[in-house]
Amino acid sequence: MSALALRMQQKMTTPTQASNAELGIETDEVLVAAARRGDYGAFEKLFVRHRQMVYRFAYQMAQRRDDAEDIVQEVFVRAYQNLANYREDARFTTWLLRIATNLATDRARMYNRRQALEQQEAAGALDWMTRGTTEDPVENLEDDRRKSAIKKALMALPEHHRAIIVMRDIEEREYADIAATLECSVGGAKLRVLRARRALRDRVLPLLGMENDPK
Amino acid sequence: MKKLTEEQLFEIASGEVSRDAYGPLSAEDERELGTLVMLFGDLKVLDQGVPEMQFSEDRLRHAIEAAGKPVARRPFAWWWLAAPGVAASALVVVMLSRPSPVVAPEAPVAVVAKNDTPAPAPAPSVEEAVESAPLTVVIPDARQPEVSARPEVRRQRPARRPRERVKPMVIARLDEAARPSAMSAPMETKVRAADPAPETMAVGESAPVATEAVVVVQESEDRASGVRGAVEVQKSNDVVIGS
Repeated sequence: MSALALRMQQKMTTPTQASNAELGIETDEVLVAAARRGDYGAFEKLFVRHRQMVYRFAYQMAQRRDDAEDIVQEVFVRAYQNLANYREDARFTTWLLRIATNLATDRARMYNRRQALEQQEAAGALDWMTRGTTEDPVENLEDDRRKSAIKKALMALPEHHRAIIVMRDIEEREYADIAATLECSVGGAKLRVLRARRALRDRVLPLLGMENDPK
Repeated sequence: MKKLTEEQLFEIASGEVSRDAYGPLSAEDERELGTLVMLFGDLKVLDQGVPEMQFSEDRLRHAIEAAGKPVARRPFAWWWLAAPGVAASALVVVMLSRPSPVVAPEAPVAVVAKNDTPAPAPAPSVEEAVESAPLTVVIPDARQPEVSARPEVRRQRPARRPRERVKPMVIARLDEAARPSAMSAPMETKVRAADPAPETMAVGESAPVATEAVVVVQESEDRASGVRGAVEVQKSNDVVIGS
């Protein structure tokens, strides 16, 4: 690397980042800077550090392990490829989650479309097989029935609502984080959370046999 | 006891605010809140049912290798700002270098068929030449939609050729040498040879006998008129030419 490039790199490095690097503290920013310089090991450390977070979010969106792992792979490949475009005004985890949200939303849309087509084709064929069968005894348990209904309602939600419910009510993220991920204001994030919760409640209550009394 | 809004109930149920933040609740709110608390509790439980991830660093490394090199961040191309100016100046240069008005080029004509038979050698008149000109069928180019598809028939004017001198065909010639000009001939006897032998002959005719006219001028003048007399005779062996 030339002297000019080194000077530019030093100029772009924030004082906190520089001091962390000097102290040997491997914050996300320090590792990102190292990965940008071509240090793949630094990027691998970032992967090990954040893969669970991305995976959990992806699993809640897809509800299938292999789909979730595919999303994780795609998220980190894209992150590595576009590391030069990452701006440090947002946290690295927020940036990762933004990529994951977009990918999971696209994937869920494709999955829903494919499933709708398959159901349409197999509707007549499967009707006689499911009619009159007795329910699984485990399903009769109240807790499992509720959980199953919530999962079903969650998967039936539009993708943007589902992502917000996952972020706020399952992973319990702060409104500021959600706002940064969705690139909107905190007030906007709160409004989106309210709409998503309302949509979820309107889908869950009929599945549980409860009346829906909108205010 | 005021009735809580939907948003307030969601906030209490999700644990964002405490139960006492909005005062005592009505029975209806209590019932709704109970349903929502159950709902949010089940949502939180969903986070515990995530299976173990089996995604290794090796898989990521292979995926990154398969995806190719990372995208390099491009610096802003400042020189593109000069592009409109360069384009405008180039346009001005082009306009100035073309003083004559722009004339639309003629449509290319495709010659489909052409009769290249040469015209007959003698072209006595224009009418005959036009009649005997090669016929050329011209079909407009298919790339020109404004030209009708009907074929155009044009007659080409034949190229002018230098006329060839053709010797006249003499069928038969006997004695036609007696001309008045012979009268003014000098004293010596002139022998005028006849025209060259004919090249062609009429079919069925016998070959003409070539004769030579001899003018015999008298040596002495006529006393009455004062001029010399002359007699034209046929050339024969009996006539001696010269003095």
